[in-house]
Amino acid sequence: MTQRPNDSSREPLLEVRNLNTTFKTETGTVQAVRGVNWEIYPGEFLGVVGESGSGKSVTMASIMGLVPTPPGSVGADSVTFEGKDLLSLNERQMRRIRGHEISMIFQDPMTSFNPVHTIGNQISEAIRVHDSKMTRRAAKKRSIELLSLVGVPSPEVRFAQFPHEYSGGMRQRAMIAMAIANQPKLIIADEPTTALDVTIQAQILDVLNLIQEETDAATILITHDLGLIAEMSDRVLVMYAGKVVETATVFELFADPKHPYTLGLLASLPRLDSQLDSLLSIPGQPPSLITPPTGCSFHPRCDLTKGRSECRSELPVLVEASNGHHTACHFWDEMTEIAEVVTDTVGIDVRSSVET
Amino acid sequence: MLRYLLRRILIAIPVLLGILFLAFVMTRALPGDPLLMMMSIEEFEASEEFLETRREQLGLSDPLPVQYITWVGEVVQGNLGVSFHRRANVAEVIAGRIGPTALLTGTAVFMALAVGIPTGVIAAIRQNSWFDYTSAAGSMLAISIPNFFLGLMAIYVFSLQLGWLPTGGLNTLGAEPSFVDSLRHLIMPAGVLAAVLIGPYVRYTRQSMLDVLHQDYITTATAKGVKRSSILIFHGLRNALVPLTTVVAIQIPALLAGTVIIETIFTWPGMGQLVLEGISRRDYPIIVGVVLVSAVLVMVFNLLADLLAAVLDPRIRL
Ligand SMILES: Nc1ncnc2c1ncn2[C@@H]1O[C@H](COP(=O)(O)OP(=O)(O)OP(=O)(O)O)[C@@H](O)[C@H]1O
Ligand SMILES: [Mg+2]
Repeated sequence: MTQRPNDSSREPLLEVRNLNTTFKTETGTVQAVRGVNWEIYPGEFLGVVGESGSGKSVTMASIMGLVPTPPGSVGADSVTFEGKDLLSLNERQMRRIRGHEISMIFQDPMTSFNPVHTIGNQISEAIRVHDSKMTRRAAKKRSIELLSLVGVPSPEVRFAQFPHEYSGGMRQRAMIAMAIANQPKLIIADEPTTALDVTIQAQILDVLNLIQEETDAATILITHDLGLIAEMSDRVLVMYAGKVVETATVFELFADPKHPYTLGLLASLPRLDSQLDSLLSIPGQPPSLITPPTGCSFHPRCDLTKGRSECRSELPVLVEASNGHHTACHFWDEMTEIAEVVTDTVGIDVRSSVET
Repeated sequence: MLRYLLRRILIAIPVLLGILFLAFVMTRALPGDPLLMMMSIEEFEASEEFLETRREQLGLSDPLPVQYITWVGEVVQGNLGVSFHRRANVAEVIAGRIGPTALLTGTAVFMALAVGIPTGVIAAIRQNSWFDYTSAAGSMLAISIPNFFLGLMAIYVFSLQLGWLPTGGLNTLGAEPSFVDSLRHLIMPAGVLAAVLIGPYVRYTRQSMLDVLHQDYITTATAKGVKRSSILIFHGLRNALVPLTTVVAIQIPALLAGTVIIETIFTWPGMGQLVLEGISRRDYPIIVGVVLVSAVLVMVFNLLADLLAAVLDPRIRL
């Protein structure tokens, strides 16, 4: 685990304040992101977890101006990237950010490349749109360098091939090459390995790690895999129903979770050292984002609430439980107790489960 | 690639034989005697024996299977026979008509694409806007109006009322042939013919564009910082064109059918006019000749469309 200093005296690279994103649909307005606040520091590796539909991808799309409007609508007090408020930029200024200052790696390498253009041309395009003086030939040379950097064998040949001639893993490498083409300050990887098989996953993560060490770009890794988070991140953001419910350094989060949802995630991790047959899963269904539960949106599924009315009526805000460790739970100070109960029933301490 | 071409040609042979058979059966099933149709008044007075000899000469007195086999034998050797009515070699007659028909249909397809693709693209980009609805209604209208009616209306408005365009023909008779003159003759029949095509072109371009614009690679391109207009062209339209090639090819038989009516209305000396004349005079060799040539043309253009699709989309293996 590479632990980079999380020195709060430093200026954040990106600071998101009260971001809200909604989608108008036939059945009602989906509140996909509901007033989230977070930041990432230069060179930091931030992991983002949360179950499907918790608003991870929409949060990132909102920052990048990739939310289709309509049906979407994005609002925030501010989204500050290196002193610029991204939401107030016009389309032209925003284009200079995309793929240049902030770039993205998407989940499905099978569908994320245009099938009718060569991989090489698509990487070259990413270079040339941000540098009008770059010749076709120079862009090609640079693309080949990038392909070789991410471990694509015989990059000269691969440059001229179409996406369907690449395997899934190779495509994701090419996607990473394209993302780092302009030396961005922030790379957002949205479940970059979900669509790949396990052996390939590890290779892609190695490439991501290598890239991060080489370029020192801040990286956001969205994943469902807490194991990955433990291995790669400095700090973690836990999202639930369109809100950030907990943020902490990776060590703190695993050793001392301060939100019952996080504990549930830890408990649902598959473990090699346990004889547990079935995974502990969080009971109940993810809440509707059209009519989210009142108060704390996790309360219908929460063990900690014990029927207390605050959970139902009062919206918990992110509070600092300890230095740099924030949680949005009314009763976070009871978490240690609860964790012990889980340990007793499961027979192992879920909080130590990911210390690899 | 070569194997693919060879296979396509081999498949074409039984298809053509089938078409020959159908064409033969259908012409022979037409009521009316070609001999009576082609006779002059004097010949009408002629004796039964005269008719018999003529029939004999034209091979019409043999039993039908014999007629069929003799005729297929000739066709295979490239001999389409002699027109009963024109008393000229069918191949030569048709050769003289292909040019005008090619000009007319080519222009019609070009006009329809030139209008249909941009309209479809804009309708897709502005989905559910007034433009989208208007273009959908417009294409609906263009398909629903029978083209003989549209043709007559066009002649009434642009030739008779406004006097802007000639009512028909390839050029002004007796005048010095000029490009402008030809264009003025071409524009109206080609436009009317194009009207039938525009609707499908708009619909398919719009649909295919909408499909493409929802693909992940469009998001990737946006996230790279590519301009919207470049995305629409290089990643959007470029991909949307692939299914459109098939649509154009599928429309070709309908297009050729359209020429029969349009060429007749606008006295355009092409294959469509020729075949209609052939039908009304029971000129079997002409009818079958045109049917055969049309069938070959349709197959050739379908093959070309498939080749073009393979060029446009590297995933398509031939
Ligand atoms: N274009 C859209 N129209 C309507 N609703 C949308 C749209 N895009 C996203 N949503 C909704 O926003 C919510 C958050 O989706 P999001 O994709 O951010 O989830 P996620 O956390 O990334 O999930 P996953 O882990 O499955 O990727 C979901 O309920 C989703 O249905
Ligand atoms: Mg997602």
